[in-house]
Amino acid sequence: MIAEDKIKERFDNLKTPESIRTPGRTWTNYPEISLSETNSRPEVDIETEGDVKVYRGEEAFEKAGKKFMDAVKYDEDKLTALHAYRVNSMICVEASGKSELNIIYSGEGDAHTHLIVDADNMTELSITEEFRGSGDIHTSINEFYTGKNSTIEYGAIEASEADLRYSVRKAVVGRDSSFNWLNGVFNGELSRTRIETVLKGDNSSTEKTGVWYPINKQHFDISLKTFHRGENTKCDMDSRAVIEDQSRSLYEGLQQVEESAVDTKSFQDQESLLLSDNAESDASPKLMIENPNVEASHAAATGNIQEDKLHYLESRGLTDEKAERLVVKGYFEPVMREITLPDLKEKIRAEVQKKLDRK
Amino acid sequence: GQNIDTGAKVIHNAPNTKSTIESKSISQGEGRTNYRGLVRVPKGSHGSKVSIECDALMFSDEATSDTEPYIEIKEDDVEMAHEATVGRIGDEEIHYMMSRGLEEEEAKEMIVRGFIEPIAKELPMEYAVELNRLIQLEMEGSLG
Repeated sequence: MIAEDKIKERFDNLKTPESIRTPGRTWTNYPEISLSETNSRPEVDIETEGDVKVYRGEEAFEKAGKKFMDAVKYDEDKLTALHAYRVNSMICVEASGKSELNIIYSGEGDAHTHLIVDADNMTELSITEEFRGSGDIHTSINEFYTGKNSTIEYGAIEASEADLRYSVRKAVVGRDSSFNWLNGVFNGELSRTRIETVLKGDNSSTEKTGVWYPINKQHFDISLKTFHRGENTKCDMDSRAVIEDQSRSLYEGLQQVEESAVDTKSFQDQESLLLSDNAESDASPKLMIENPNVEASHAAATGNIQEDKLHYLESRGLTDEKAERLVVKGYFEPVMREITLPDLKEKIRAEVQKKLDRK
Repeated sequence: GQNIDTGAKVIHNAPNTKSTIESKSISQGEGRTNYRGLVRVPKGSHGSKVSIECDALMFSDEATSDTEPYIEIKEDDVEMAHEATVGRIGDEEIHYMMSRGLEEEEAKEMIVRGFIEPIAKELPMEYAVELNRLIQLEMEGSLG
């Protein structure tokens, strides 16, 4: 744990989470954040399979030791500090062999959930987290460490109804290992999700899939970052957003290839579908390259449903509305294809259906 | 040790407007290139079309290249596409051209001229000739 006095001392000097600024605009404006206690505690359901040791509460803090808020520092910004101060669900997991970990958070009130996973060498682990429930502020921080020759698949559904949602997920990937992400954001009036992968070991790789669907006046700020450090590392980041009503989707994608990262392959693609006049999509896919032995590229596209697609479906007897629903339902499928978390994919499809059914 | 920080800003303030941004950068030695661009399509600029392409070629181990585009779309009736690539001249390409009788330096010059060609062909003849000459001067004896 981080000492409360240490957090209180630093808090006023910290800033709100970073946000992109362009001439005349700041992409995300955060509300006033103060350091206060919370009496609430989320309900946590955990299921495991295989060789997974789960530690909770005080035992988890002891087990984690210095790893708690090491990959993600407590003083990165005001919300990481608030999270460290208030954390009300602490889980530390050790995994080896072929195993599975599924966690569902629910309940009313503020939730500040923290998950640390230490995967041994030669581990095949799938992890899912579902964020439900409601409250004013929900924060969630994950710190993942993989050994050598491991494959980790992580999936999350951020569906809790909170005024402010803040998630930071970071993985440090060892030699010959891969860490794959599927993250769906569906709720939160203001939701900020930052997912970072450090490809530290040689031959390590990551695939990141992000899907999000803001409606009404929701504001989703998503950041996907990959740092290539080892040799022969690979990254593929693919994300899609459907944006409706007066909502906003903000995306920042970063591929950083450091000097030591020889023979890197790094790709990024982000696409947005705007469904209404007042929706907004902002994107900033970035490349920062310090080693020329690289194949790196990225692409981004924004638009509305193409007339010829709607026309084709209407010519087959569908109404305007049904045609649009069909296109939206299928929109996320191409990016979800590569991830092998069948239950989570079904839940993501259910969240998309909920958004469509509300009309 | 040069640091070239360039970019383009386009604001679509009317309907049915079109913009194309094409950026090509080459960094060698300890050179650093940075593309920073902004495209803004406010509400009401329906029917707008935007295309942004940024490519970077790096010649040496010490060179660096950053690409930071910012795209803000507030209008749904819009087509926006952006792409960027970064890389170095492939050994296979050099080998192929040398197998056709070219010297290594000639092969690299030819590849660089081909890289710049989409931009050079848009320029008036005098400027295109001058651009090719400047590239040749920069590359003489400096390719590792």
